Amino acid sequence: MPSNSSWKGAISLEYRYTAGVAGERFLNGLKAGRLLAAHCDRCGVTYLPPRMYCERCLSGLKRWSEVDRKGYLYSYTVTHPGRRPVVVGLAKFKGIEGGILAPISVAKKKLRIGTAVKISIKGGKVSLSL
Amino acid sequence: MDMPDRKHEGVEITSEEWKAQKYNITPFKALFKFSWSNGEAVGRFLSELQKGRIIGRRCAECGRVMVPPRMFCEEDFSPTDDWVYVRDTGTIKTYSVSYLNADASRAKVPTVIAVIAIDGASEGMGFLHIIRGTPPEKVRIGMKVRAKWKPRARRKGAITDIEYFEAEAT
Repeated sequence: MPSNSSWKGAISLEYRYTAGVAGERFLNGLKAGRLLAAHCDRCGVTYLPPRMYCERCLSGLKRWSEVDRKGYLYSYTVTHPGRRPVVVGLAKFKGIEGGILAPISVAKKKLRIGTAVKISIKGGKVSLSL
Repeated sequence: MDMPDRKHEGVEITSEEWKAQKYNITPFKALFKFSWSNGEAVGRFLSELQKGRIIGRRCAECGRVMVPPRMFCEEDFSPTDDWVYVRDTGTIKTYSVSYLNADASRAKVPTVIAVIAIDGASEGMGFLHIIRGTPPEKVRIGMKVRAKWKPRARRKGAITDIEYFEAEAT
């Protein structure tokens, strides 16, 4: 007879995440091959990913524009989601607050923090390369 | 490329829009596994269920037979004293007719859930279980019921080793 010293179970949780008004627009921009950021003219801050309102002055962010894709590698890490490791980098852009976290198709040893990275958008997904 | 001029409030997604997958929606799935320590009393209780028996625990101080069993008497603040097998029959103390499925959807066929006082245990001792074989409108408080056990091979040390309780043949 198996031991009944413990009761084993599992709670399954399924949910769907909606991106919100700004997130939706940002994702649709990616699908169209555009990387969008939102500007706060009052604070002189540009947010990436774009937000609905400025987190400093709480005013609505109405001015959106495409990001100049000349980014630099702010940080990177190696993740192991499956058999093959995936290098993920955080690309930042001069004068923009925030950045884009995306896989990099470059071996880890070739990466240097601060190096220039190219942003590619294919099928709504962002990837980084040198 | 300006944001539409609207208030900073959420946008309601209608069920039509949801079904048409109008928005970018990311599905997530998480499975939270847990292992709950049964303790001595409930561990034995479950093992006995697997054997097709209901066991209780007796307190020598107050003389109560507790089902489900516990190692400590909450009335006397003393450890309980011995194991006692009780019967697999009982009396409905209260019941409810549920039209909800486990996922909270509406059930076509209702389930009758009852608190059953188990014969051989002290007054008020027993557990919650399913009543089957009697139409909901015929179920009564005070009705005598008997456990319908799962076949031995399908028992796994759980309260559901009893499939349901049914009206005792009179």
